Amino acid sequence: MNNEKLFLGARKRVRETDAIIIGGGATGAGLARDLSRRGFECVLFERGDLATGATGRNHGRRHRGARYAVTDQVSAEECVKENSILRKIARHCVEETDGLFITLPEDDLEYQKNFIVACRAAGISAEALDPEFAKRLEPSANQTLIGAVKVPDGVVDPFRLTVANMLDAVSHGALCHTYCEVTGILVENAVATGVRVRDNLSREEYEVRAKVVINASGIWGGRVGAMAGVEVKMFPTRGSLLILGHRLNRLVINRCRKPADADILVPGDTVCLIGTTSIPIKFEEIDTTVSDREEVDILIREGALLCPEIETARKIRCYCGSRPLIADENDKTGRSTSRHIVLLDHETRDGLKGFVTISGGKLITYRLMAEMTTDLVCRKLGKNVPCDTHSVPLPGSHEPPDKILRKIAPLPPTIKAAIVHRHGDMATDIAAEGASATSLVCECELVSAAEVEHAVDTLAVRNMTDLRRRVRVGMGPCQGELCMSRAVGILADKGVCPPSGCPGELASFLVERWKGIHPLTWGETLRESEFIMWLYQGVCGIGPSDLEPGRVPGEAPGEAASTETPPGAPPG
Amino acid sequence: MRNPLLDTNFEACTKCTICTEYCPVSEANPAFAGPKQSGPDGERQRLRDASFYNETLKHCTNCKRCEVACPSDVRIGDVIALAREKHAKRSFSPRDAILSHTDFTGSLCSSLAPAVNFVCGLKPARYFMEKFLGIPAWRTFPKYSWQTFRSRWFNGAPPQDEYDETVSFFHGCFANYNNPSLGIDSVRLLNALGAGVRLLEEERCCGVPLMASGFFDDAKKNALANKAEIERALEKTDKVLCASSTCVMTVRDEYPDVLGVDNAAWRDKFDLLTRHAYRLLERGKTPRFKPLEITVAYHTACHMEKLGWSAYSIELLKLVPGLKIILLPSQCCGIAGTYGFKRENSETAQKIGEGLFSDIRDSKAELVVSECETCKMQIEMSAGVPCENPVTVLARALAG
Amino acid sequence: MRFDAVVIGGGLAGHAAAISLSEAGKSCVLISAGQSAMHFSSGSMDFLHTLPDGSPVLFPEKSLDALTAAAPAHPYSVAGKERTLAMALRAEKAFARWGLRTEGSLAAGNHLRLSPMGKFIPTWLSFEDSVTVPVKDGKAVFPWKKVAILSVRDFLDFSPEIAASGPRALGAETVIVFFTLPALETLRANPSEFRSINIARILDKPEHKPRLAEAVREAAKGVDAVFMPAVLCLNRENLLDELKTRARKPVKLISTMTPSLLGARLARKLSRIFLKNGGVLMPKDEVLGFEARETADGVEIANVRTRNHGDIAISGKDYVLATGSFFGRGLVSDRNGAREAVFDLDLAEPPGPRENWSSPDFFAPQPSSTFGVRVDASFGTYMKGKPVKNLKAAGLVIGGFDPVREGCGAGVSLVSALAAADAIAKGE
Repeated sequence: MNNEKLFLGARKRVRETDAIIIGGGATGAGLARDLSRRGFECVLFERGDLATGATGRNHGRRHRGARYAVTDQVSAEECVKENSILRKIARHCVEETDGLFITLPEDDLEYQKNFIVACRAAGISAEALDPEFAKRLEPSANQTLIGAVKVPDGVVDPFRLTVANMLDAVSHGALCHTYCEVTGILVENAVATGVRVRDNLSREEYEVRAKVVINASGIWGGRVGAMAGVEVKMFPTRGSLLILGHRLNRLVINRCRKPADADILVPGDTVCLIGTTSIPIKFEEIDTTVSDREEVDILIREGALLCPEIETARKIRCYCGSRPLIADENDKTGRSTSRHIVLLDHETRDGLKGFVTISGGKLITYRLMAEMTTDLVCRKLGKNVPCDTHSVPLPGSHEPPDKILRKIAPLPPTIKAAIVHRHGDMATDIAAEGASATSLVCECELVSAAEVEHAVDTLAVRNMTDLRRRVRVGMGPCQGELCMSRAVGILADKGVCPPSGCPGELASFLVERWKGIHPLTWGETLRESEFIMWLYQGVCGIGPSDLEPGRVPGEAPGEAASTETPPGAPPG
Repeated sequence: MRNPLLDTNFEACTKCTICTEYCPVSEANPAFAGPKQSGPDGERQRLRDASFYNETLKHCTNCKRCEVACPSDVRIGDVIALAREKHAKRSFSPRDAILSHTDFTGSLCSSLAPAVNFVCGLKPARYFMEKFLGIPAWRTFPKYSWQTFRSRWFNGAPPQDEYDETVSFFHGCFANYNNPSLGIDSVRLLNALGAGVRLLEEERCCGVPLMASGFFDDAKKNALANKAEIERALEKTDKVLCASSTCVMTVRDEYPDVLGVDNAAWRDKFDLLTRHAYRLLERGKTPRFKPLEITVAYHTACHMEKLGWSAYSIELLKLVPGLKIILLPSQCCGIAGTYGFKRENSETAQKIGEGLFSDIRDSKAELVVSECETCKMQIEMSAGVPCENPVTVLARALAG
Repeated sequence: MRFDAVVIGGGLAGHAAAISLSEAGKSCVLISAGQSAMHFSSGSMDFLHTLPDGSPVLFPEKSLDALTAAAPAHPYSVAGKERTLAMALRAEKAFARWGLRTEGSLAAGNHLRLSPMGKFIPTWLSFEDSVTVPVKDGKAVFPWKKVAILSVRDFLDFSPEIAASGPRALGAETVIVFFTLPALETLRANPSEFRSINIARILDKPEHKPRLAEAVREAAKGVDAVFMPAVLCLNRENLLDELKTRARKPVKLISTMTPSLLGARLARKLSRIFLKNGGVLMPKDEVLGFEARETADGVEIANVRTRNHGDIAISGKDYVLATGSFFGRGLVSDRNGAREAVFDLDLAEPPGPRENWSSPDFFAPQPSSTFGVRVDASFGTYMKGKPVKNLKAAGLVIGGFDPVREGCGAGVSLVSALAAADAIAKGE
């Protein structure tokens, strides 16, 4: 493995490069990795932080496509293939859990039969279980089930996956510019020659030239396309998800029926998620859309049919975002959406050279999307280098956990387990000595001060919310109540923000966390939120005046209203 | 009844950290991860992956002061006990087996009581116990009684059938093997309050020392056996009473919450003796007490704090003329059952108790009163002041 | 079990009511469901710092009329200005009598306390040993030119840098100094337990005093005052006096993040005072049911039944409900509604549908913060529209005010508790 300490790089500005990637989701980061590994210079621009769009807003399910087996054979097969690759190259980002598709008395058992046949046709092993056995296998599942099918399944952590791809890209020369928003595409004589960028932290604007500009901006793809004068038609759909306080289930639990609202319960890290809903929204709403009461009720009602404990379990967060559904190019009416990967070469499609859009697909197929796009770039720039992203492990995934655990100095067992879970073999880069190595910042998610310092030093953390995405600070049941004050102290010590700016950082973080808490203010969640208000508004005196007018520090102005945007993997 | 291992009561934790302020172990032992991190925080992690189990959970004494402090009703002590049951590495320790199997150890030692008491006081024996069993040489060992309470009872107890009501009496191991006079005092007090007494046909250790040493299976066997006996006793009497706070807390709360033994049908009928005595007083029974001109200091044992029933004992003691009662601030004595008997914990145990010992000495009380038998041992050894169950004090004050 | 008064709830309001009642010669039981929110409070008591329209309050006495006009359902408005001020004055006197060394008074107007985030927050009563700043002509007057902040090394629940930004903003110079002790290092090696209270359990020990005093003396060189995070003086309040004498400079404490020593110390002291007065404490108990009888002009509580005491009912001539808001579980809620937990008392305002309980804007007024029971001028309560003759409410279980935004949680707790106790003592 690479012994060099990886980092996401300084904000080094260049005037020109081979390829510009717009969008820091899994696809953009995967693309940066593939391009840089094949010898292209590239710069990735992301208006906020990595994985803030669809990538970070889904349920992280690494389905082997079983869900699409009946309705969408092509997607199912892509998922199967990519899944087995991910298992090899990204083992610190994925967890094998297996999945259970349950049939309830009100469902049709016929569907189960078709489901098994379709799975097998797509190369997915699907095994019908004796219902009694299934109940014992997954005690949290609805015990009235009348049928159950077990399939290989797992979960992927989208934040970890995106960061790992980006780290590898940067180590191969790519530049990662988060908080840099593309405000215009430079077009000269029907050729896209570069972009205009605004640095959202310094507010400076500048131009960068490139041979190819790639639009990998997910649901914002339409807006980016419009900057280049081409039409990319997106169909935003709001999907809401509900996070529960701990792992209720061991296996992913699905309803064995045609995909519908709130029919998947996914365990991941210390929590589990029930999702999703599907509500078409207007394009103008994608940055501001929020879950409503009805969606929360649907998630709980339908979720409780999968796992009755959802009714009473602690709810810690409900958030929503827009799925990046793109128009089906083959449908001339332009009214239907594609379920598949859509790679648009605007040179052949619209006569605009040097501009490419990659969209559609699912989180799980991000690598394939990057490979397809890089292949196209190769053809365009006349370079013939084979792709190796399917065989070379990502940073963090070179070694199995037990081997890494043995390498780490005698840290307390819980901290050790937590950093290896989160960083794989990169855990060895985190200081194992000194006070910070054994001081917990976040007690819910077991994040040490050393891990926070490591993230700040190497993983392009510009604010509290970025830190949350890197190391899960504040993602536990207390939503940051205990740890945000500790973490902000470290940010100040590290110079990420001045000490006098800490109340502002906290105010932004509180606003951001509240978006997901507000739809759930009853019962224990209301108790916790009362506690947070007493502590931060009451004891600490954090108030609205600490927020810079109209802007959440470190975030793009347009995003201030909703950082928690669209869920990725469309449930079909 | 719900499987305690699937209980998710830990989710009510708001991460307020109040429990950590009241943990006597964290104060004395900096290696213990504290109730919050060991309990509700750790549980979320352990549900994800067993590798998140932390062996420092063994430092918990299950005193339950965290549960008393918790404003969110999280059963922190239970969460920790259950995690130990599920995850702790087990290795057989003869010391733990001896300390925790009180029925076996008790009946063996009682039959050889003078010899055992003599040998346990000898230096070479104490050396052996320290060296091979890990029981500190300086630790006072409970004396065993030549005649158990049960054998004394069946060899000539006063007739019990001339009272208005009859109650069953669960004497517990300590009264049986080590302190039969507590059993006799219990009967005298109940008789004075107009209640006749019968014993359970058979009685096993409540199981608390077994749980503390990780013998959860044996504890459950005892619980099931006691459950059957208690149910049998309740066919003949309305109440089963016990003078030991720990036995009462275990049978009422730990049976369902930790061992998964359903006691819902009779939980309320298994009661602390002084609480029922108070009930009898309220019903108009008035025992006659003679003056007892001494100063006693009342110590709220951890499990009494959890039960919340100190008021009953104190109200009863107030009936004794001349008795001066000092209320000690409620804190842990450190012994926590068999915890303090183990070499690896003994230093922590003594440190935990420091505050209490100095409060006792400062109080100038001639006698400490507590419902807990292991507090008695610890206090007598460490504060140098005798300690008795309130039942004993009340029985001593009975006129005639 | 029979008592003159049964107080349900062991927070600031419950303790204040119970102590006052015991002082008035009433036999009193305090039923507490666990330790209270005092443990993470700043230790200062606020009376009123902001009016509902957001305007700041410097002299609460003068702002009560404006409050009544803007918020007629606010407990101060319901009790009336005269009673509110009388009870506030009584609270000031009680604190002195109970040996709680506080400074500040309504007569002097709000002073400012320094928060762990470097903010100066208007408040009413603060412990003498905490960092406070007077207000003159509407402006904070920082009395020192240069202060040292002496913190414990690697302690995460207090950032001296952030706290220092407060004095700096008022033009003071700050120096930051760290210290440690071998015993602190041993505790620090514990990943989660290096907390303020655990540190205080070490620093309060006499054997560490020499080194602590030396650190304070060093820090005091060349500065006008030494500030420390509140990680000492939990059980030994005179420790700070000793350090002050040694350093010959003021030594003051700043509250830390949770657990907060200044708040926890207040809770412990109040509990001790109550027990010393002969009060009966029922820790970790909860009222599960009650018996009430209808009278000609209302309802009367006959007794309550608790989780621990089961068939043995607890009865009193009078009752005080001081169970808190949602955090204290005085109010309970589920997806479909919210209610008062013990007696299902009438609420000041019906909660309405769930989606209206909170605002999507974190800093906007949150309606759920104002939920609580309806009271009359002497804090009597109502059940199904009828007055409950012998049940008063105190503290955050009362509705009609926002303790955090208005900065009046402690004030309402003390005023309502003392008013309730007063009414009971007078047989009102």
